[in-house]
Amino acid sequence: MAAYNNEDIVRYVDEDMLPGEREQFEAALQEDAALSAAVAQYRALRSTLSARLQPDEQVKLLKTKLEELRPKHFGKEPAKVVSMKKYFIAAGAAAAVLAGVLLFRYSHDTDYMGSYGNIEMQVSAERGNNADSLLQSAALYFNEKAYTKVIPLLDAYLKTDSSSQTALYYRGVAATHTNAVAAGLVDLEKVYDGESVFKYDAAFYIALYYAQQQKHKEAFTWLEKIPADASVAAKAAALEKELK
Amino acid sequence: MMIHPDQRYLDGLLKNDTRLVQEIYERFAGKIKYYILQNQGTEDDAADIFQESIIDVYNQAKYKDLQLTCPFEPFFLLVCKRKWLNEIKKRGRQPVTKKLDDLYDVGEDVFAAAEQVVQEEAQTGLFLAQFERLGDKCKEILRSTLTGEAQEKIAETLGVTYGYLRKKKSECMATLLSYIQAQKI
Repeated sequence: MAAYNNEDIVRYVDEDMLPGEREQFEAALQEDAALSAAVAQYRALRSTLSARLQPDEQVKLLKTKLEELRPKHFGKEPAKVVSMKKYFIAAGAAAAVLAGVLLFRYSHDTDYMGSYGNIEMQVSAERGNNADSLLQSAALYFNEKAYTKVIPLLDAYLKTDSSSQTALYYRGVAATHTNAVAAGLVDLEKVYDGESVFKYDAAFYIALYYAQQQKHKEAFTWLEKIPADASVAAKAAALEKELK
Repeated sequence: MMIHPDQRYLDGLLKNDTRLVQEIYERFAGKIKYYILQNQGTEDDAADIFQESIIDVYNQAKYKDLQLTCPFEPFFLLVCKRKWLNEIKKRGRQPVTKKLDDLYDVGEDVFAAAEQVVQEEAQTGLFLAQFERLGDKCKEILRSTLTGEAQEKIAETLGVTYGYLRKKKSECMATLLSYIQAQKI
């Protein structure tokens, strides 16, 4: 690359070289990996600047929207379990808006499971081993609501990885849709007792199960375990409001 | 490869779809907050990483025609995680061992898509930061010449000759390139 500097690279890519000079440069490109890399880098730079130096009104609007939503989902308070009454005060308008959206969608509907229980099992394991294949098959059946087919697959998966909270959670949910409800609730309680990201999803699902059974007291008990900053908090608030 | 139905998230971001942006916050903010709080971060860090990741995904969809062939959730959470690990590294801290893989059994396509977003947006950030180091004249010339407008017309608008404009543009770009090379990306 010693024979050429950055200005030469710019002139070459921008087609400002005379034909003879260009041919020599291209011959050098074939031989010189560093020069070739520098040309590729300049092409990337040029392409990026061409796109990103132009004003983008859309991204400004998006940033404004994100700023508006930020305080609703990332408060200043440390994460902790609070009662739902406290939650309503703390979450204020944000939760009210979200709950309103959900209630609008689900108003006058006592099929709580149908309203709030549509969970999609998302896994994307593609490492090709047998355990991953089990999880993927389970997800396919789960998302088709073929719950009885899900359970043996997740049983087998849990034999290979008994600590998988993902498998335990989805097995628990699936079981509540079969005649193995008690076992499902045990799975979900185990997930709640753990510290995985499914902890409060499990609590919510247990609450939902009891709500569907018209066991409101038990449902409230589980809803109260869900902190205001949990990802299911808005759904929990909406369900609680419906139950009251 | 088949486009995943979750492409709707990218399309929604491009259309500034309020309901969809709310859905992204509602579904994923809690998980990211939990992860970052468990990994040496604060709630503000989590909020920043979450917002930046959304913008990065938007930019890749808009300028690189990113198309999702995997579910959005593991992809997006992995983008956030990679950005947070980069941030921890920048702050000179040792990354800890809490894994986002606990959330999902992440496939290669998810890794590839997330890595592309993080790497390319980091590179873009570097390019734009180095661009800002140039003098005002250089910035003006580069902004103008990269619009695709005829250079003769740009030269006239800027009050310089066509030859000067071409020469100056090459010099400014070469300077910018040297700034970037000095950053050792």
